[in-house]
Amino acid sequence: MDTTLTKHRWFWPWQDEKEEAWLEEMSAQGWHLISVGLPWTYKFSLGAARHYVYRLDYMYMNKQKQTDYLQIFRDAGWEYLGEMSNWRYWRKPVEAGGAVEIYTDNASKIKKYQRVLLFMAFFLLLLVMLAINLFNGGRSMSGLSSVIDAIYLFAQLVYAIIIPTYIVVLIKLLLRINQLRHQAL
Amino acid sequence: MANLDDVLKYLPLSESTYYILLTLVEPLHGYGVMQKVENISKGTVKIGPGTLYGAFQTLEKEGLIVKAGEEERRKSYALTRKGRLVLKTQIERLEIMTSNGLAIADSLSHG
Repeated sequence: MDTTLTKHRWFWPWQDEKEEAWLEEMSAQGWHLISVGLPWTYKFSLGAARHYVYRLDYMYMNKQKQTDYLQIFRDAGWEYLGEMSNWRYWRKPVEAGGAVEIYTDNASKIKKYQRVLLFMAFFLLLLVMLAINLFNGGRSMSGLSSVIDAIYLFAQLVYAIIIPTYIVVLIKLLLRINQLRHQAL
Repeated sequence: MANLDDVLKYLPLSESTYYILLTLVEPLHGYGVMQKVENISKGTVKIGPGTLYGAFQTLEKEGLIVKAGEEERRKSYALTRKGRLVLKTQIERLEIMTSNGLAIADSLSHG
């Protein structure tokens, strides 16, 4: 019987808790996460079923800060499984005791989603600026070749999908942050 | 020396931040902070590593704590003068809050 398993899975940034629950469920069936990596690839190995909690953090930082970051988590009993698009995967056996949350108050949980929001907003801005360049400056060259025209049309189509998607993601994240805010009295 | 406005803008501290600052009256590393907070709060407050890492970053940036040492890749932090002043002011406020609460606490159980 095969004792490793590779799965590809995509999730939206406001659905991280669903992802955590899925990984916990996999472990309950004996499939324990061993690594994550692009393109949205999860590797599992088979073992005895175990009650792990998984937590996803969102963090970008330099090497020095990463050392401090990892140390604090590991000291608190968390095992680092890897990083994918700034999402950092952590787990802890429940029987080890102590907090099963990496964020123990709403304020710090909100900050996590604000980091996602900031990163995505920055990317959206970059995309929009690129689009302005591509479709304004470049357009004057059209008519020279039908191949170039076709490429532009394709790029426009891609943009027509990507930019609205980004906007939806940003709105969903804002709603998630708002929801967390309202939990505080 | 920090002026009053500099101190007041941080108040009231969140429960987590308050306890983190309390433990840093002497230099302590992350793990020590998490353990001590859980201990002295009699288990009512637990600090997760994500919350603590973020708090260290913010408090250091705001000049309330400062790196005090490093051993085996573990940084320890301690309160700055400004941090001490913020904490002291917070404690004074909490004292007023508590005495107000205690003054009416008896009547709450009758209602």
